[in-house]
Amino acid sequence: MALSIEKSGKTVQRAINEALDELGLSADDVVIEVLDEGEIGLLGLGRRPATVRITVEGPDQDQDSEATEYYGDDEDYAGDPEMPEETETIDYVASILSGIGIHGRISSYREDDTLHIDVTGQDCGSAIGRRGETLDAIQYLASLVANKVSETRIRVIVDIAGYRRRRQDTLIGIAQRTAKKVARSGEPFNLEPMNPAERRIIHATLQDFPGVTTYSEGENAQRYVVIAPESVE
Amino acid sequence: MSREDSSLKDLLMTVVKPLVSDPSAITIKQINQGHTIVLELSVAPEDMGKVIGKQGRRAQAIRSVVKARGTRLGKRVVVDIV
Repeated sequence: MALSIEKSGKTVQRAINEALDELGLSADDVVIEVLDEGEIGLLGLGRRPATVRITVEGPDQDQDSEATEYYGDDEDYAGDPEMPEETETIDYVASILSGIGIHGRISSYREDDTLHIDVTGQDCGSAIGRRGETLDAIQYLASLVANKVSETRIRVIVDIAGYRRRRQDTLIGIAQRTAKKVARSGEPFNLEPMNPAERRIIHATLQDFPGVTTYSEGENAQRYVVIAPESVE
Repeated sequence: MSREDSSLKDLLMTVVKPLVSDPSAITIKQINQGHTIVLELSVAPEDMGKVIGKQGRRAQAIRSVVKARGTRLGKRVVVDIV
């Protein structure tokens, strides 16, 4: 017996989250169909909600489907509101991007204390900048706006055209290749300067890598990770 | 580009406005020097820290964003906080 519900939200992720909350299930338990990706639009123009259909299958869902019949009280969602600072932050990022001259699409979702803002679009290079410098600036400014009024600290992560994910993959690759080389040669190796988030990726990747250890050296923007052979004493 | 392009000024205003407590005191003067465009930003005295930040971090971020627009226009942009 299959049960399906349709849900709309500001973004696909939000619609999915809301539907899953309502069903009390995780994404692994259901089939998710995106009926309409929606459009957040820039500066509030062309806004259209995203719509998803969530289907629950399997015999062990029978009790759950019963329960959902009675679940319809919107007051229960008071804990998952759209915070005003969230909207302000998203609008801020949207207006910066359109000011730079980027035309893309913004989606966002909240994960605990982190607000993820993802931008997709063509010709985004200038909003990313060399080594993600502009992207980091946008993210930093967005987090200032998000935390201006909020009492609890909100972390903001802005990604444009999947840059951060790709960069992370690249960094993991660099870390592993360099660590192998260092373990073989016994010679320490200095990586190029990186920001704290990038250095953290290197340290985390090599935490349990046999035969090498990592630490950072240098000041501020010139700080870099050293991959060194583990001292055998 | 003979016509004055206000997109840099507009972007700078967009970026700075939510950071300060007195947005009405923001003024931006644009000076075109050929290939270089200088933007002179001034804010209320009590808002100076909010646009400069610790070790100039906010100022740096503001410059980064405005420069991205400059790159698209093929111009060098200097943001002076005065």
